[in-house]
Amino acid sequence: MTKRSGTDLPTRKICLDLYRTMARIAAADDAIKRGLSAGDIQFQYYPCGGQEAIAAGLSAALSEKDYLLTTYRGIHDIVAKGTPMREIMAELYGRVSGTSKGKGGPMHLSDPAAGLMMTTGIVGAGLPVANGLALAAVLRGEDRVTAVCFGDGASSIGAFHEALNLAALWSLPVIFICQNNQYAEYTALRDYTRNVDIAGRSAAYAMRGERVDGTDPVAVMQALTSAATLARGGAGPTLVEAACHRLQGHAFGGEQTHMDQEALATAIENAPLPAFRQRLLDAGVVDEQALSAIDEHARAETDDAISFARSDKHLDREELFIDVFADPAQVPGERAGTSENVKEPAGETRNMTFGAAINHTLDLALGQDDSVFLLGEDIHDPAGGVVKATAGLSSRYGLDRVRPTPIAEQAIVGAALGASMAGMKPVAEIMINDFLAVCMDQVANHAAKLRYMSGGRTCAPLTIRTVTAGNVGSFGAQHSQSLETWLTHTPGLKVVYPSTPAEAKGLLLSCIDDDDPCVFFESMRLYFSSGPVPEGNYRIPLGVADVKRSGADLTILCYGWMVPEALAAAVALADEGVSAEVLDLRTLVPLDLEAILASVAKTGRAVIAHSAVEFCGFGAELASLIHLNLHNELKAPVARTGAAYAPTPFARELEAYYFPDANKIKSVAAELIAASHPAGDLS
Amino acid sequence: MTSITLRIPQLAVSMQNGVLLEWYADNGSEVIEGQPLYSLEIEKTAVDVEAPANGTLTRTGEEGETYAIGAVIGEITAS
Repeated sequence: MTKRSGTDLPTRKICLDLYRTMARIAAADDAIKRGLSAGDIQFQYYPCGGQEAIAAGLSAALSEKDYLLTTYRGIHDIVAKGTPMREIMAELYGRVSGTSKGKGGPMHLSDPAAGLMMTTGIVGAGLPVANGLALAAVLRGEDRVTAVCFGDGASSIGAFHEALNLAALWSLPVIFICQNNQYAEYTALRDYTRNVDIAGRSAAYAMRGERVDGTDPVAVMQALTSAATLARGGAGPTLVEAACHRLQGHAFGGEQTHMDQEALATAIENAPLPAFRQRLLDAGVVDEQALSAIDEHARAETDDAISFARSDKHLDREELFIDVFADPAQVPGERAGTSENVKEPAGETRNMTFGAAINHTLDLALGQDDSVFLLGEDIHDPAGGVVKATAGLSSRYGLDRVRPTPIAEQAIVGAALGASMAGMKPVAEIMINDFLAVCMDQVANHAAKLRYMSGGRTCAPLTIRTVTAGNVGSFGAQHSQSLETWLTHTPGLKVVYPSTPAEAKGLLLSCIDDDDPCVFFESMRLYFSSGPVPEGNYRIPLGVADVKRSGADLTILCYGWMVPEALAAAVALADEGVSAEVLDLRTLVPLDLEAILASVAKTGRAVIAHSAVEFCGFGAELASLIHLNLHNELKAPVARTGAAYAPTPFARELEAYYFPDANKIKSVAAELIAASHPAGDLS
Repeated sequence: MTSITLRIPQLAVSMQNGVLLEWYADNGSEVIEGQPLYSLEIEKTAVDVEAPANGTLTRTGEEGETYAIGAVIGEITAS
């Protein structure tokens, strides 16, 4: 790695542009540090000192419409990509004119107008999302490159490997830019990896790799320009390692004792901005006066932005629930609910299994909307998915739209998420919901929160289909859970859990078109049971429960594969003279609280049944809501039945005992009837 | 004439408060942006805090006192 001499300098205009970007970055960084020193703003700030040249080179290599994702040490990238300084500073001050209306903060700026799609606070998490943005450009035939910046520390995390592998496999137009500042937070490169050649890791993925002097904006610009040209030409991704040196500790004001003091002193002596300044002067490209004018302009710009931010409006409390979902009324507890009981349409039907209904629905969605595409493990023919949900679809629509993936759930969800940010309607398959555990960062920290963290500027309207395999035998503890509560506990996710083939169709079509991320649970226990499915393109709105059986004495609240169990229990209860109403929630978020309360108010008793573990299960929330709202109308405390507090056992008879079933629901209901008091007297 | 309020900065995730160990500039003196202004002890480590602006320093914080994050310890008035 050699420093390029002044003879390699590009045109005067480009030199001035590079210098201007670096000066603006330095001015912004200085202004933030002044605000922090004065105690005017208070947050953990991760300064960019030492990395300014990388961002300057980046902005010269990319066009405005190219996408950029960066990380929490990213103020230089954000300024360079063209986000207005006033909006940046207003966000850091937590004010309404900020990039995210003050709700994202310094780690979560985004500005799609300038191509800045995401700033993440999670190390390495931007890489899988970059693939999705790039994929959207490919699928639409757009001439657009996606660049993603991350630190050297990100090279250790799994998302890095998953994303590079997928980008190379799919030949995506992505530039992976590792800003190697020699430290992962407080740990030096050599202390966390045996292989310090980060660019060299590209070989593991049969991808181009290039190491460049990250303190030289011209060298960075040249490397990224050639990577971008290759990406635009269809030659796929490049991993660029821009080597530099952090000029301060991990966080502003923090200690620097973990750093090599000699190397730090040398790096400060050769700091990129003054070095480039001197180089321009030495080469006679520009005079001192012109550079000083740029410096002054940069300082004036940040001073103006800081004054603007300080005088900008604070956030109202009403803002709290805005941007959780596209429609604030869908926040649980905020919604009046629906009074109508929305059923699938009448008319011509075809009898098909639950699994066939999923296949039929995906076929319909792919056929009618070019922005829909599928991705997941083994979903292509001849496999057609492990439960055949996608059989025949890759043959019909091609591998561009029915995309098999590596076994890499972070890469799958990240790609779907990124594509959805760009306006596609991806349907990702996570084979079994237990595998959500390996991609929960993408689901819960990113898909769920992007709309909120960006103040509504971005969103992630992807659909995740996933199978829950409880009580079908032979799967054991890691393939039989029902993990919906992980998702319902994360604001920003919609959770859908159908019980019939007809409703699966209407709800899945609603999920695909929904403006928010949806997770759609498919019960394997129902997969091969049949029902009539109406023809045509109908929707069942999210957040509308369905009375599957009317009754007067108690309400059984359920969803997914508990619904047929509850219906069987209701039949058995009727034989004993108990009239049970079965209310199928169909979606957990948004929640049809009105239907729940209407039913339980009528019957005075509620039993909640779900296949998830009972302890801390969704039933606990439902029971609490019912008690809070209907205390004086209950004839008995709400009863619950769910899976036992144990991992799912393998032995068939023990697994059957572990999950609730019709008999268990019936006995809980009978106990509830026996323990009842007059309404309102729970003493 | 503008003035900048000096507040105790948050310099570490776990920081709740800090001890103002020593002022490096006299009350009423002219300070220059970037010069070490005072020493702050957080989590048993002394950190120099730099002046955020040019101007005349008014000190209200006392040396040796413990202050919460955000507490006002003075101001700098642009001259």
